[in-house]
Amino acid sequence: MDFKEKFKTTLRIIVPGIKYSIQKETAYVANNIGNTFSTFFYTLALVLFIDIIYTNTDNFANYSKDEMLIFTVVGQAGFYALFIFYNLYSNFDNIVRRGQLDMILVKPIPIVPYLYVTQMNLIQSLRDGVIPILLICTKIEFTHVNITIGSFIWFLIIFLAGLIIANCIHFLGASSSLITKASNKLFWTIHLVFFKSSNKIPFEGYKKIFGKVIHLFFPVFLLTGISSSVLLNKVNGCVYTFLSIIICIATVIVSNIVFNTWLKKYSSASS
Amino acid sequence: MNVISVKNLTKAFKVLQKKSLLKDIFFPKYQNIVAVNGISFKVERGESVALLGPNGAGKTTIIKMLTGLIYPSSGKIIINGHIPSERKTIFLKEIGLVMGNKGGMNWDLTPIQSLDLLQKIYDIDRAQFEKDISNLGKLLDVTEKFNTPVRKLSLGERMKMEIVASIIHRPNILFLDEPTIGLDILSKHNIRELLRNLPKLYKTTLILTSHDIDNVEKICDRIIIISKGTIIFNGTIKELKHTFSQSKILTITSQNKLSNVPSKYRVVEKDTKQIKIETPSEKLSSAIKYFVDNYQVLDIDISSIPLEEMVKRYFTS
Repeated sequence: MDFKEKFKTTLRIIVPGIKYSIQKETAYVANNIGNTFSTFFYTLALVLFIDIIYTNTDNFANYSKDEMLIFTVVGQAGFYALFIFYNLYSNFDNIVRRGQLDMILVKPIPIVPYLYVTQMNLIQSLRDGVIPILLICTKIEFTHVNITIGSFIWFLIIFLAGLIIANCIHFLGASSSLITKASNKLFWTIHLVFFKSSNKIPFEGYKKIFGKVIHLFFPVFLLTGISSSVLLNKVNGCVYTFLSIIICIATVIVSNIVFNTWLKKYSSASS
Repeated sequence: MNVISVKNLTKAFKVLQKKSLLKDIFFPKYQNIVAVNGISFKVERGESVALLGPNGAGKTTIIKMLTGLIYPSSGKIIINGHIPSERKTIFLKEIGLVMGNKGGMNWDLTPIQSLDLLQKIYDIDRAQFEKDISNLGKLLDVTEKFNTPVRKLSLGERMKMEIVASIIHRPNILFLDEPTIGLDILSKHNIRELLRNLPKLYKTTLILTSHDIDNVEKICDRIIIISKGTIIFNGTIKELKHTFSQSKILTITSQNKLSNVPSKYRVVEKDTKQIKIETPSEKLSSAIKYFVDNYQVLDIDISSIPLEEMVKRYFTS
């Protein structure tokens, strides 16, 4: 009964919650314009870097230049998709310490969906992400890469699973402040180690066993490494799709259990 | 009918005893601090109850356990048939919480934007929502402020908006933790008026913590005095006053200097030409006689011990 009610409430608050997030994001008009510029120049430098690398070689980590650009697009797409909820993770400390969480916990809403929909960076992610991704896409010769409809579908599933896993791990890192009251550094470590490093090296760039271990043991690596490898038909998409779904379900269940346990131990940070 | 039933409620916190950085990491030692110690009380529907106590008495901890924010270490709480810590949707729909030092509204948005989201969360009928916003705006004198960003509101206006946000879904039980802290007289008056009328309007049960005795006297029917996590008084204001009724405060204003007052009179306050003494009721007439006989008395005022003083004595007893 309560689950049904919570599900209905979640559905009811998605649209107004997103609207609320957008209102918060657009409260200051000039907010983060600088970020858009810096992202644009970062992408430009990245494309130039790839250009320079491939001036003297046709193959790097078993990737041609166009494949490397595809990998970069997937990495950037993953980054900006994750960035949608970055605000929630980086602010979780404050939400707990300033007692805002108390005011949320007394509302008849499922807390996790509420936090996600009301703390989004939707506009900023789109504004900062779309132009750089399109910029890289213009440099790709799509006829030179082996992408099929099948591989694209497998890719989408793995990418989505990777995104869910990455969000679960980031959320757990951030929500550890329920018991520690300070999780910002932990969240940053997770973000740097498990995400920023994961979209720099293609799956094939690792030695075979090490690559598999790192991608399956640290499942956020699925998001870019394996998904782009599957998209380019370099590995068996079916096997990795199945694996990523299993890992995704396990991560969601474990995160849910851990979060609820921490929530029970939460002792309200302020009086 | 009881809407709140609390039995042997205890809450203990584990607090790290700080020694040195390394010892705290590898050999942490914790101390159990008992914030609430086996308290029991009941509250009836429509009743207004104040939890009073000095800082650190455990009032806010009790409010947090009653609203399901923290789990009790032991004991039982039943509110409208629900256990608060289970945080069931049906229970959360029935309660409202105002915390004087915390805001539930977004700083950068206008109150109406935050209230709109609440309308969806609580699934409030739009017409009723708009009507209530309009009525509450008038009652609290903030009609003009609904479209001003929260960061631009004064403390009083912000607190009024927080109160609107906490009662917009017409909760059966409203918990208020220091709702008038730092507010000016006019804002306090507006809020008091609204809170005093809530039980009549919606049969709302109020649980209030406040250091402002005026609030308590004007809003609440009953007070529970807490000290060091235990209840030391639970009764109506009338009952509390009755326990101190054997004493009166006598204020004498004289034309000449009030010196050499005998030590048998317990002086509460003294100025050169005015003195306040506390005296047992049966000795009141002899005290008046003494002052009239010995000084050029201009004015005599007899009053009960102020509620604030009564509560203070309970705290220190």
